[in-house]
Amino acid sequence: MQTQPMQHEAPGFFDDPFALRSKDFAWSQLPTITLDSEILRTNAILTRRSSAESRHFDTLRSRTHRKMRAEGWRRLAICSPTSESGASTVALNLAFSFARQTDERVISVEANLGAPSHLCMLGQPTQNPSTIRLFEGQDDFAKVGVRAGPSLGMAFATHPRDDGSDILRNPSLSTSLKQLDAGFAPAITVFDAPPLLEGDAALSLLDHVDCVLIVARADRSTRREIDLAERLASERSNLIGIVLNGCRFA
Amino acid sequence: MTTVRHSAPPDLGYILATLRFRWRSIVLPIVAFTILGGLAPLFLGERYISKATLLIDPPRLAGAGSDAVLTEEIETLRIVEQHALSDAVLTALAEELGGLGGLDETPEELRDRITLTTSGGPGRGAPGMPILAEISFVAPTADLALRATKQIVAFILSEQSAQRASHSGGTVAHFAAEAERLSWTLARAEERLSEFERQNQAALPDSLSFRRTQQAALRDRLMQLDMERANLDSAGKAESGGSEQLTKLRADRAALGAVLAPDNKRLITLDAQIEALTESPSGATPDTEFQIRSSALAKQQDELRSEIDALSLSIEDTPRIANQLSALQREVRMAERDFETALAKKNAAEASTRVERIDTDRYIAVLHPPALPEHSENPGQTTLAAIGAALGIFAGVVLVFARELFDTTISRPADLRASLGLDPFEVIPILAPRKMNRFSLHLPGLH
Repeated sequence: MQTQPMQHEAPGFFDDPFALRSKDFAWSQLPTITLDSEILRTNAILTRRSSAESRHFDTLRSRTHRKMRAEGWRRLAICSPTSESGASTVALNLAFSFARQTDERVISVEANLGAPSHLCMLGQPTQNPSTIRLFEGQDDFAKVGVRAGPSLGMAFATHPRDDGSDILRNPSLSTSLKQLDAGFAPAITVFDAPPLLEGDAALSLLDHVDCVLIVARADRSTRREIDLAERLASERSNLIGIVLNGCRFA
Repeated sequence: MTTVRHSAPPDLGYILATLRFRWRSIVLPIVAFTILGGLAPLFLGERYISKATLLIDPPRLAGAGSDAVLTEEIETLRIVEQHALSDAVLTALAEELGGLGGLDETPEELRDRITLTTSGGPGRGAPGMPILAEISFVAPTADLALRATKQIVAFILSEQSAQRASHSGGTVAHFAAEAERLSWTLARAEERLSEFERQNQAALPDSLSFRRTQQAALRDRLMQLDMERANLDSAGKAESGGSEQLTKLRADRAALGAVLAPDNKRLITLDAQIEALTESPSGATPDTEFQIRSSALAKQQDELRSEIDALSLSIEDTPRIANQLSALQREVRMAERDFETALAKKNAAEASTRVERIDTDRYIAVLHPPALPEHSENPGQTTLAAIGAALGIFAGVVLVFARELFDTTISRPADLRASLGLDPFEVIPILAPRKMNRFSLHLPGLH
């Protein structure tokens, strides 16, 4: 049985010029990071520049963006049935592709607290604070986030935590995300969610997002896992679809 | 609840892509089996094979002797194939080899080391061709293999020679006894035939026409005698008038003598007439000659009739005698034929024996004597490695197909469609990063 997905209220920041200036200022104050293109390519982050290699992610981005815009969705969770299915890679590529497509702000939040990988994949040193402080309401995005371009903000999980489920079930998470939306007015927020079938952390996060993409790894994810993940995701959020990643028949 | 269905059916492209994708599952068995094949000689040990080839050339005799030759061939092969592997030989061989400290094995284990193969010969579809028997022995050293093969060949030659000697003498003795027995049978048959011919000499079919001619001649003679006797009877009647007068005068004298006085003139006249007739030669001689001649003719007639009757009886009995005689003659002829056959076989056996005595050493000849093997028979390391690689390919392919058979993962969009009824929202291929170490097993996009 599919529950009624949550509809998050979009901030009307275009209505208040002062607020808009305030958000621009806050966005501009985010620390920037420098990305090495070769490291990105080595780690299959291919969408920072438009190329032939990025076309599959660009297609995924366009279809997802079209769907989200049509439905008025702003928070997108990328999750997989089990770990090592490529959800983080898809999430980062989608974030870069979203940021490249539009002038609107896109924020990538690493919520897979059990196995953080964004810093490694982007070739960035470990830095504090982690997204955990954002989820727990201890810091806002202005202190946690960085900018990886003019329109892409990112927040990383710096260290693996075993209590990711508890952190994502924290009541302050909803407030923190509302503050994020209010403070930076992202058009799209991409959450790299934990695996759906490895604890209930992902289910907790899905309560705070508008839609979800399931990334299944070809030749790794079983039919039963995909079927179960699809049902769980549909019950908690709006399932956009299943992305078959690493397919040798594409 | 979504119904879980099976994967989409595979096609050629899917199979090839799967083999390419699962290349590690093929390469790993290839590497493993190749290494095992390369290391196999260390565990297999050495195998040296010494071989010897025997030429078995039975004597070729024409006629009845050819059957005996085929029997000889079978007998020889039996000796080679069975006696050479007998427990006695193997025990002796084990003692010989074990005593020298080379190969301490039981006779049963030695039997597995011996190989006997035969080819050619009339019994194998090659009439007129000699039989080739190849004997080989497998041993861990070349010297042991050579010694064992020599022992086996020596045993076969000695065993065959002894067997041939006893068998040839037995064959001649058998045919000689048979000829003697048939000779006695023939003599008995001939004796019965002679006795029968002697007992039925008068009724033999050979004299049938003679007897018929003789019978006709006797009948003619009898008819002639009948005619002579008839003539004699008619002549006798003509000469019997004087005697009748004498008889009448005597009757009258007797009648008158009863009533007249003795000195009656009439009686004196009658007496004078009677005396005159009695004293006359014509009165007494003709009657006596007639009787003598008549009785002689009658006697001759009786004798002729007896002869004719005897001839008739013998002629009537001739067909029965002829049948019995024919049966006895057939019996004699059969006995003669059997005797001649036995005699010919005896002669052939004697001739064969003479040939064998001349050619005994060449009946089983050692065509290729046992030789010291120069190389181990084990396949080389390269060959075993190649065999291992081939087995590895086979094992790898089997492994891949078994893995696919029991694989429940989603490999392609069609699988997702077939199992969950969903089309994938997007399909992202395997990404090939540019600067990734080509030997790294790490695949990108898994985080």
